[in-house]
Amino acid sequence: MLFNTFEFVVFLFVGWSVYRFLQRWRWPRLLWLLVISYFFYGCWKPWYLLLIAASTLNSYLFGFLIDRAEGRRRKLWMALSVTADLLLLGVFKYGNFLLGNIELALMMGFDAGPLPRLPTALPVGISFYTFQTISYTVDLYWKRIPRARNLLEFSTFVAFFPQLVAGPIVRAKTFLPQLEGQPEQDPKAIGAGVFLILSGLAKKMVLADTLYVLVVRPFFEHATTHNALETIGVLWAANFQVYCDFSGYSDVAIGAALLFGLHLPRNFDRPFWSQTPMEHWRRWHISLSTWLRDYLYIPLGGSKAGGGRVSLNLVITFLLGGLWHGAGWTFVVWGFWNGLLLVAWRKWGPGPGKTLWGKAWRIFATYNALCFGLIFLHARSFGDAWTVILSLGNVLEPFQGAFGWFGLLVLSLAIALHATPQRWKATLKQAFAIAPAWALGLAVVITGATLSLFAGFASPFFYFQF
Amino acid sequence: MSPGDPSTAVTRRGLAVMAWVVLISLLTSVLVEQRGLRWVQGVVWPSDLYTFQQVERGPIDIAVLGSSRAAFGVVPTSLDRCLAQELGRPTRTVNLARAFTTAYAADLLDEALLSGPRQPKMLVLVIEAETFDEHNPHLSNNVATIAGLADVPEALGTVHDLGTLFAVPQPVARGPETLALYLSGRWDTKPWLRWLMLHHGGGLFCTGSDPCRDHNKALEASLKSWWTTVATNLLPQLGPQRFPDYQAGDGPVYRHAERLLARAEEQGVQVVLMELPRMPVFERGIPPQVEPAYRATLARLLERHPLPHHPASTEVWAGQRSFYLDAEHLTSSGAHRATKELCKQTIAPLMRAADAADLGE
Repeated sequence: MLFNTFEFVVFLFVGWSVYRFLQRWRWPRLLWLLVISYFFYGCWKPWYLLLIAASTLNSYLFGFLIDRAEGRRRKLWMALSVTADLLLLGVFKYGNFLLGNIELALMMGFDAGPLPRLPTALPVGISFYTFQTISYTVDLYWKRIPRARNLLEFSTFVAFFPQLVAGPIVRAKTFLPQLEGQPEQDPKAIGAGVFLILSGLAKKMVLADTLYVLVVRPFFEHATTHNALETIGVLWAANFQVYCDFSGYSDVAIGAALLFGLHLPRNFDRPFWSQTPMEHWRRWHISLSTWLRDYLYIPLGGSKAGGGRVSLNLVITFLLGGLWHGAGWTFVVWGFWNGLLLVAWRKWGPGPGKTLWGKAWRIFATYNALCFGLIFLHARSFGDAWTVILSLGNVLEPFQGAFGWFGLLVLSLAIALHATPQRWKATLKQAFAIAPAWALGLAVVITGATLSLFAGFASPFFYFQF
Repeated sequence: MSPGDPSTAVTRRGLAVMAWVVLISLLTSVLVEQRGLRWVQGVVWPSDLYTFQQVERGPIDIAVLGSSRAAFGVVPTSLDRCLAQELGRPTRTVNLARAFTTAYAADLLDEALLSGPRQPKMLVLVIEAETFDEHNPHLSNNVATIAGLADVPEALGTVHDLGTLFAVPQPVARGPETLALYLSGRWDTKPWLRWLMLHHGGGLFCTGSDPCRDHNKALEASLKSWWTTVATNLLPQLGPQRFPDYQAGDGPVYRHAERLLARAEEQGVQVVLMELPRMPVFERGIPPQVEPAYRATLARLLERHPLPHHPASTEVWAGQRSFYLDAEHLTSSGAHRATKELCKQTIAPLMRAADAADLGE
């Protein structure tokens, strides 16, 4: 069930109404939230529910053992739980990738035949909820959080539908206490939630989908030599497409959670205003960046290690971050590029600018360096990626029409919206929060009708594949 | 819960917003239906039902209903030409075929579009196994896009899975969407569909002029990739994709077929059931249990309503690759031939007999 469908609207209406009816009774309320979350997830494929249930049970049951143990035994339980989670992720996400690579190695070395493949497609959201359960286990091991009080609360934390399939990745520390108490009772949250849902859908359907269908997909589907300027334009469009798609999804998730009186963390903070790649990763997919920082980078030694070890930590973190995004070598190279960029910038790059011009060129340089990495995220093969890289040098190549006027218009709109002062958005959100019910109803209908005009461009959320 | 309770205030506000959304959508949908805009989306279906509904004032001799195969396979101008030769008088045929049309959709379309002055003398219902499938994967699409507001209660009977469940309330919300399509001019993005409906009785091909020849060629060229797409994507998965749980003869879809035929009998409209040929490779991909169930349903229907039945020429056409756009849709040459066969073998004799009966009276 996608957010940008009529089904989701009906689901949200029914789910919310019953939830509000049950809000005074904690157990029925949580049970209902779990039921609708599992229903939401089961709509993709019912057997996915087995995976999420397995991941939930694994972390919950090991949580008991970790909580009661100390010393090496505590560490052992934590390691076993995390290993089981990673095994689940490994089999379903990386199994065929691994088999493919083993097959290639065997063919080259021993002239062996093809290996069988796992008959499974990547279950949506597995990367997100696995990271969520791992964070719970590790936080519990580090004694940063108390053990979940019961399985119902914990299952709801793992499966809460707005963030289940594409984040934000929620931490038990901030979310479990919300489930333990009454949901927030602020009438203004309804309007604010509606605003976030509508603006998120508009970002996704008007900007991201249009850019993808008109510009990005045709370009990367048939990667041929293009003019350099045209190629840069497409990379800009690709960057904004991913941003609008994913931040749009996050906005809908945060807005939907708000309707249920629950708060999800902010996932994007105008990342393209970043003056350095380090700043970019603090503003982009914040819940993943902080997860990688807390559970990978810092345990590796973080920045305290000093010298070459910091660089190595950064590269390892981003390599694995790249692999988290997809089971393919292009993703690994994308992660590697971003790791290298961070290392290089830390060593030789300038710090934050002070003048307007100083800030502007840093933002421009950071943005374009990140765009370059996107080639590997979108390219279907290294051959295609190389063709695109070569195109960046083709200054004299004639334009091939990768950009129509409409694509250019949508990209300009996306850039303009990104440049809009935050307070404008806050003012609009506040206006929705206090607007009369009829005005909100009208806004929903008009926005829904307008967005339906873009249904022809509809494509699944980009981050579902991760 | 007391009125001063903050949780009551939140619930009230949320319910009020939802009530307004439903009310505004409903009012817009009523307005859209009353202003005759309900079929605006027809352009993308791919018959321009909006233009038909706005312009057509009858009289209509023959109307064609069916799925996309009927939109490609029956050429109104070709049929009229043939009938002019056979009967010595002009006729007027319209093709209102629409993608994924089941008997359920055919009944609703007939009731909404082919009544009053637009009531045809003859209705050609292009059928196939999918027409009677109670679990047709596209049934939810039929409900969501064809059912009007008044059809919503009855549409509940079609619910058998989540898709159809979520489709039932869609007519309530379709008004704003339709209005947006109309106001933005998006319904008119394929003017050739309007041209076909205005001047050639709809369908997807036409005949009798140079613009028609050019159009037919251009359309076929634009759909050249279909062959490969169907061969690689559909044919290996034909069973699961088209007939995941085939069930025919007992359910709302069959009841709508009955209702359509009963209404036609009552109004004196002659119904002809027509089948179009498909490539043997397609037929082979259909799960074995489908054909007997379909034939049994058809036999039951024909037993209750003795109707002329024009069978498909699948075996006769086997090996005629040039007649097929893909494994199930016809090219213009295939469509002309199928239409000619329909004319000579079934429709012309029926109309001749009707003409003779009229003269006798």
